[in-house]
Amino acid sequence: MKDHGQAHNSPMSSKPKENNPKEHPKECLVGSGKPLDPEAIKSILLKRFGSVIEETQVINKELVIWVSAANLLEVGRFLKDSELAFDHPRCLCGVDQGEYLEVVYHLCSISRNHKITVKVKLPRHMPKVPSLYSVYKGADWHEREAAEMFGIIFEGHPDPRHLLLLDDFQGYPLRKDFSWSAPE
Amino acid sequence: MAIKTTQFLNMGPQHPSTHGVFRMMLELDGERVVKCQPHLGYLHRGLEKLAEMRTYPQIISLTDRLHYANAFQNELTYCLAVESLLGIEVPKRAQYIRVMLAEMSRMQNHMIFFGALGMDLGALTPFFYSFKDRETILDFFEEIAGARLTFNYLRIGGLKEDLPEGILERIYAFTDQVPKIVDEYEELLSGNEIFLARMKGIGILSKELAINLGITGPILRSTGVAYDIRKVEPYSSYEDFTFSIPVGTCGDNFDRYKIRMKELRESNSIVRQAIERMPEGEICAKVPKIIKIDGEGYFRTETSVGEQGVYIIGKGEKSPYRIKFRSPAFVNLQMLQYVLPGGLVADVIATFSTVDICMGEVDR
Repeated sequence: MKDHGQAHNSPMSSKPKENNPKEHPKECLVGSGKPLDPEAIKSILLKRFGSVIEETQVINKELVIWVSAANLLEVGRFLKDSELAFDHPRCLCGVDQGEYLEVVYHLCSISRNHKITVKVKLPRHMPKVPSLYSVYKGADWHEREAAEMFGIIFEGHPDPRHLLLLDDFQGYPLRKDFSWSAPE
Repeated sequence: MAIKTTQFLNMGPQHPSTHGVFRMMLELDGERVVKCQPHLGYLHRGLEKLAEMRTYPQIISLTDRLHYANAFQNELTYCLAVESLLGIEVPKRAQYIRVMLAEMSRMQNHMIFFGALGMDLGALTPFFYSFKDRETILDFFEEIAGARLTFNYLRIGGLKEDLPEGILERIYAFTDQVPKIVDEYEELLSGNEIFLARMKGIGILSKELAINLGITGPILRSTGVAYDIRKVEPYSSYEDFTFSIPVGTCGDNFDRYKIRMKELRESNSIVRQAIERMPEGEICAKVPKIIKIDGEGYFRTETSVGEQGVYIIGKGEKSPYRIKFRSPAFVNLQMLQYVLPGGLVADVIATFSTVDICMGEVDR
């Protein structure tokens, strides 16, 4: 099977310039510490915040916590700056849960390689949540998208314009009650 | 008294070097960029809303349309997400074929990157070289899946059908040539002085900013962080293969280019390993006829652009209640606002090109 390749007769072929250095800097992968399991992360958070963490659950070996909008910024700062080192915002999205709206933050730690999901429940009539832009710059576009799709107000966002939709688009398309028919 | 004035330059949406329809508002002070404001959404199709009214198997064809060069990898991410929510074990042969196809996609994507980068900088030859080789890979894809870009070949639980007879030998023969092909690529650009002037020391992204922005993939690795989901969280039997993760040193344009050239070689070696050890057996697991999911989960894979994530919330229905595609290019593109200011207008195109985006994936 190995000798099927034909000679590649190119006018430019010459010696390889740099031949695949097998670098493997493990220290960058593991970083400052070992990954913590969901229970350990949970106990650190409960010790620091107590009843601020409204609810916890482990889904697919990943810790999910619920916090209120008022405490989100404080919890976010702690997650990033403490020894937990959740430095990497993976994903952020809105969800229409029927009676209430929800913002879901997926964070992970590159230096320690563990993950967490933070959820915030918001009332439908006044979905306001502080922007995490000051903690994670990567929240910028994700928040703008969740804002236009679900009508969630991210307080303190530096640039709250529409991102994907037209500037004058009316309505919040990813909400379940969004009407598909053309406007009259 | 000197009056300080700035002017605005609108770049796009139909600019040939914006890889689709992307618009940048550049505020200039002479030839220097003061501020860059990206505008997107020209290709927004509402994929997430569309997915909410399709059944789980139907969504596979939607994921094809996220990124034209990464269709296999996006299908894989979605299928893995559904399989892990259902607890399905995929047969080993299907896993290996998936890895082989994903890595061939990566090679093909990096070939497009190489060609487009050269063309953006005014060198037309690299484009012909890389597209000639990309065509070979696309021919294999066409033979395997019946389509060149939007395959719809992966299924929940495995694959649509087994590989055509004799194709593995031919792919193997092609992989023999790839190291030479990449040498040839590097010969064309890597030492070119005009190219280097637009690459070395331009568009530097710091490690801290990259992590804080959520940037993944070759761009994150170019800043010196050896973070690759294939190693960190192996999926689809990636733990069976030996490959190294190339990392850069300073995170400039040249590092981003160099990393992709190295990844091309690494992907090639993974394809070879997959063919050498290709197991025999089933290609699709037993899957319920009607797929219903109750529960939620976020799953991620390493595509050629970065971390492709799928967040599925199912409420026991035939279609997902909510599905979110976290596309890597959407996040990676945010770096422009931080990297471009302070540079020259002429460097904007070079920097933008090394981000390697596809607007279909950004706008969804």
